[in-house]
Amino acid sequence: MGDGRCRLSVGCHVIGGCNHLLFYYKEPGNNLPPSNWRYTVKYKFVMALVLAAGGLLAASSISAHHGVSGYDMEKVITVTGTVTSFNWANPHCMVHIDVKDGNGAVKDWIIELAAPTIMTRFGWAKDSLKPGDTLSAETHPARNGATTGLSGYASEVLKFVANGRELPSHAGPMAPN
Amino acid sequence: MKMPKSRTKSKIALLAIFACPFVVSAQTSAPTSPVKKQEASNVARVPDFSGAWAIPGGASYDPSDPRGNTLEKLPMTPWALEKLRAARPGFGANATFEAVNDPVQKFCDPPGVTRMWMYPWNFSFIQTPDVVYILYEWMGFWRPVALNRKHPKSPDSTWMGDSIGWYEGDNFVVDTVGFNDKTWIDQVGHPHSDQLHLIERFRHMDHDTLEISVSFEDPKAYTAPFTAKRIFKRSFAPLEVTLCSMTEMQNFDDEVMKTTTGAPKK
Repeated sequence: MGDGRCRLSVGCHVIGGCNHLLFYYKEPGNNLPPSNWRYTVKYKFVMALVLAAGGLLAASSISAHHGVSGYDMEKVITVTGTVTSFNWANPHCMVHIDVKDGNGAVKDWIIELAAPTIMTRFGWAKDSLKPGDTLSAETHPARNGATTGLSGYASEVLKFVANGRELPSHAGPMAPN
Repeated sequence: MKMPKSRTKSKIALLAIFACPFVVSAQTSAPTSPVKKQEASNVARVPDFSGAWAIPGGASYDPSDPRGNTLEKLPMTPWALEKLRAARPGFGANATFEAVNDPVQKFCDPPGVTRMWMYPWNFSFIQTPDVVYILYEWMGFWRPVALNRKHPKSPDSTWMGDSIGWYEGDNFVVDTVGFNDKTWIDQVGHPHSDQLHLIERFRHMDHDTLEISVSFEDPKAYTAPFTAKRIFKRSFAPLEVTLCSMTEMQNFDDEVMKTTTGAPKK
């Protein structure tokens, strides 16, 4: 934040150009409490645009281009280690994390996130994670015990803390209306 | 007695002088021709669908089961039932992770018109007097909807079909025929045939909410027509493009999908 680039905070959208005015509004159906909203105002101009919370038709674990049945979507674990790569690309952004297991062996965890356009709207950017970052990431683990997990898709981004700084997250799918 | 020729000519000249102003007046006054009046009134009636709209992820067009938790509830013909059972989608009751045969996921094939309304990206309308263009972020797709013509008598069979449209009050109606049968109508694998006649009706529920009513009439696939609705919210994020690349899909498959499937790992 504050580097002049378009940023999106939790469940919010940027209105206006990137380099002159950034303001946020509550995304329809976003039930996150106000303390999770972050805003940057370059000018002394307060814009409060709150769209009616019409609610979205439930996506309920609808991923961008593939299903999620390979992951345990009812379970969230936390994976902690060192980022070795962060691939900001389609179809899904991916982060590789070196994680020490209980025996001290290092395992390569692959965490899947949403496509770049979707991650941008959640407030991430291509440099949100860098090799060498210390990362603690929530993820839905693979059902077969592989060191892979799903942490972001169309309607959810789980909690990532990189170098002690929490990245934007987004609550999971809502009940259908 | 015959009038002298010079006086006849004078009278003709006088008539011309008096007639000309009326002719000139008619040519230089404000548009009053019937065609121009119709155009002016049409412009006044065009509803405004401008802006970007966010599509929420969707699963099934079965209006009784939009999440696709129980399939085979739509009124399908035997042909359609067989196709549904052969589909191995990533979503819904028949979801699979490793054995997917979804043509979009496997081959980046075009999703088809109705399935585009289920991918969680944005779209926009570009309204011109003769054509409305629908631009989709997902896969960079777009559709032209012709406003002032009928369908061809024998349309080609194509991925997106032939779309014509018109305005009904504040609604925008799109009528499409000429589909091939290579796409699924939704994310859970419901099929359609090349006989699909699709009607999409867009309307504003309020300034920032759009409703689309999608009506399927496909006698080869469904024994009765059915209609489902979806809601789109206005988005202020700039329209971008998310392309589908076979090499990127293959890399992702190799790196993630294959690792996350198969026998339990230690």
